[in-house]
Amino acid sequence: MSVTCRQVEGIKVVEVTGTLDVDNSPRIRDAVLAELQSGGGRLVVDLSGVERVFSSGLSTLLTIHKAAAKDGGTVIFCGARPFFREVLRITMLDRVFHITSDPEAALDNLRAD
Amino acid sequence: MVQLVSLGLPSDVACLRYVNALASEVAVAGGLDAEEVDRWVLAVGEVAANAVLHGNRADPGRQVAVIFAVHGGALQVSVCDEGQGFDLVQVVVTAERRLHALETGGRGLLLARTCVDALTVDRLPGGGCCVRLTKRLGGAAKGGAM
Repeated sequence: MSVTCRQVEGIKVVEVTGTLDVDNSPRIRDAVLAELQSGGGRLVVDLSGVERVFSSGLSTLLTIHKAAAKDGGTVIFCGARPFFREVLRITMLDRVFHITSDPEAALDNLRAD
Repeated sequence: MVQLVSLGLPSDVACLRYVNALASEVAVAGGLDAEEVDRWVLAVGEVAANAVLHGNRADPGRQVAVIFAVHGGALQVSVCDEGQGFDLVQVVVTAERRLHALETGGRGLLLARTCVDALTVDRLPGGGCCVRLTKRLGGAAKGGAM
């Protein structure tokens, strides 16, 4: 599991890799929330390196989404693999989250705001 | 019934990775395709996490038993904890309410149920609870709306 951050034209892009499970989720949540705070409420979370996701990982993403929305910010989740996308659909979180296929599309959306 | 493999683990979330790895290996050996392996591992992982966190309340002194088997052309796993068990219908009703209210938590068993052909809960006479998941081999169920 890893969380790394890069900056593209002033917007932070956080890359999460590994498994989003009950063991890793607290560390991922804390790391991403820290980047959200220091990034001024705009964040791209690249999930293309996530191999497996469990419900605890979904709760982590929901916590991050709510934290951003509470302060008027935006988090865009991108790059989720097909099964991850299916899990988001099953749990109806695809109707709640801002989701794009890749970081470039996410950055375009944030630039347009 | 042919028992494939079983393991006992303490109620420590760090141990769940071994259950997930084993679930994946068993599913691949059973001939499930990659998509169905993903569904199976998700279901097993959710039920195992439930046993550790809710059944045994993360008490490392309490054991979780995980038994993989093949029975009647289907893959089965029984995940047993030392807790009091739960009412599946009640859990599902509560989980669906939490889902619609966008509350965190409560999605595990809903996901598990969606990813397998059957999910049953048995309270054991001497105490403890076993959740059994069944997934047909060859023509497995697809995930769908709940």
